[in-house]
Amino acid sequence: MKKSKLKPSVFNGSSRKFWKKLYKARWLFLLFLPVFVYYIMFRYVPMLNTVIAFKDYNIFKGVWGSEWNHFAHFKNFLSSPDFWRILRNTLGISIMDIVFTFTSSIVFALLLNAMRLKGVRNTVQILSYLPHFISLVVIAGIFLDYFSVENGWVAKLVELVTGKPANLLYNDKWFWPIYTLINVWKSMGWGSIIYVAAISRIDPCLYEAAAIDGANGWQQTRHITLPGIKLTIVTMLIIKIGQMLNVGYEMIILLNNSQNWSYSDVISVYVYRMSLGSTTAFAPDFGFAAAVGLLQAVIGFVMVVVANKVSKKVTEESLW
Amino acid sequence: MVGKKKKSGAGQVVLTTFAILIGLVMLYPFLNVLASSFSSNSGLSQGVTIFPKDFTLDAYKAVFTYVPLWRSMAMTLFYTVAGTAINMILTILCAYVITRKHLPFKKFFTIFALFPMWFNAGIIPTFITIDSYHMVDTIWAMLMPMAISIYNMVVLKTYFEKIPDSLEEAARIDGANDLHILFHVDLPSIVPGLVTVAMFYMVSHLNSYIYALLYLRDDNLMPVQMILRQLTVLGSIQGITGDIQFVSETIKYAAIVITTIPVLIIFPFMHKFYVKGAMSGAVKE
Repeated sequence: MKKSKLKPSVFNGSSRKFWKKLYKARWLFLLFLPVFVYYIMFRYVPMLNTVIAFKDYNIFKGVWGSEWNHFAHFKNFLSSPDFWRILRNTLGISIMDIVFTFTSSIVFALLLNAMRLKGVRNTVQILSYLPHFISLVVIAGIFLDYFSVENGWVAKLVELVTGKPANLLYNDKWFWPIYTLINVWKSMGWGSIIYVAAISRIDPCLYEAAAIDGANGWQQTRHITLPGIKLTIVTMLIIKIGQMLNVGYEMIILLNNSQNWSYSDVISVYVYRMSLGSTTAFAPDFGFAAAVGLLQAVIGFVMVVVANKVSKKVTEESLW
Repeated sequence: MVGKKKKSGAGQVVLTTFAILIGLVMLYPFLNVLASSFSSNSGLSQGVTIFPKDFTLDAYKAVFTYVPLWRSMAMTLFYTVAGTAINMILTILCAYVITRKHLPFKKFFTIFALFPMWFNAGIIPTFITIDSYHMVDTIWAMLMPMAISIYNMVVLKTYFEKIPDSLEEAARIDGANDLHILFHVDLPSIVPGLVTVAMFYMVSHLNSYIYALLYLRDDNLMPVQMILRQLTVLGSIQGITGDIQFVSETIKYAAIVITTIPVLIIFPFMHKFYVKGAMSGAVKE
């Protein structure tokens, strides 16, 4: 930090300016130091440690002592039947999420906007935020009960239809719709916030003019509200598509069981099950799990970058 | 306006009914849990909706003597307080520094801070890293790995960016350095932003179970969500002697009620802040 006090003759004008600039920012560097240490230790070192994806990882030899096996894990994964199953589930659940959860938030925002009874409107709005604040464990616990054959009303519904009670969570074909329904319940209200905000920015004069022209509520929604939030919808959709591979494992590993693995295994769940969540007696292969995770991270990264490019083109605004 | 109201009267009735229905669907599971927690086991098997059947406080009595639940609640309180403090210090420093106009290599610092949002190291490499620091199965595994949520940092960043330059320039003319400006000019003028981000962090500490699942083994360190997971999702509890007992159904409802109450109590106060923060983050995202 004393650098700027060095004899000026050593440096030409521009480099003196440079050191002066650094010196002026000395407090900033000091303040950033703990942040820097945090990022290196907990964000960037783990990135370096992803090299185990290319190694025959052995706990005793450590990350750098383990033997390289190059792309063996990737070859194994891509040629295994698991790969197609997991790809199908990840994309399937993502698409269900976009079609139902994403859309439900927009429809809900439009619904709130079209309501005239402000008291009811505000109450429903606040109630819809409630699930967002509840832990996933509690949500999963509540819904697992509904499906349980002992007392669950869903199991009773099944009995009405088929004649005998069954837990749909033990029927793999039902996993996607169940997961999506829970997600709609959990995220619809919270996801609508951004659209409610976008709607509130629409010029009220437009509605007044439309009302004078005799447009009814539906026509106003169709021709003023929807076009008014089109940009927000497109932006959010691009973000969603960019994150398609990142179906979270936190909710799924609370709901899955060995009977529905064939439809509940998405990439992150599979990584977890193959490593830390492994229930087999054999030592889990961390290298393999890391390779699958890396594959997701790399493709995910490319998708996010592309999404940002597209968003820039479409909305003339960068996502970050 | 009056004429128009009449014209779309039927539409409004349909919309309002539909909205109320949605509100009830949102609320029902909570009322159902509450009612179940006050019911007896036999009442429960007859099916409880939103009114307790065979009213009893047995479940609460049982829960009050269930030591792991109370111990884990104390741990969660600790993780929430200590964790949020660490979160706030690091997040403020990071957001403050990367929003300074006179920061050299500003672009580098910004990308350095945001990059992990786009490229995630993944579960296993992160676990191996934490393990190499000997933090697995210690309280540090619950406090450090997620000390900065980049999303929250971006939210705070937008608050810092909105502070008018004139405010800082005036302080700088008076001889204030970056440290003074942070503490005496910037932080006091973004208090709502700080409250918002602190709440984001608090709620995530109160509700998270995944880091405990990944990094903790010792029962004494477990946060409350892990105990809840044992009670509700796994449906069994470790008895005092170590044997696995089947949970009496009502106990888990009482446990859910007790552990969810803290969040529900602060919810009415914080949801306005929370919504504002979510919007400021979303605008930038």
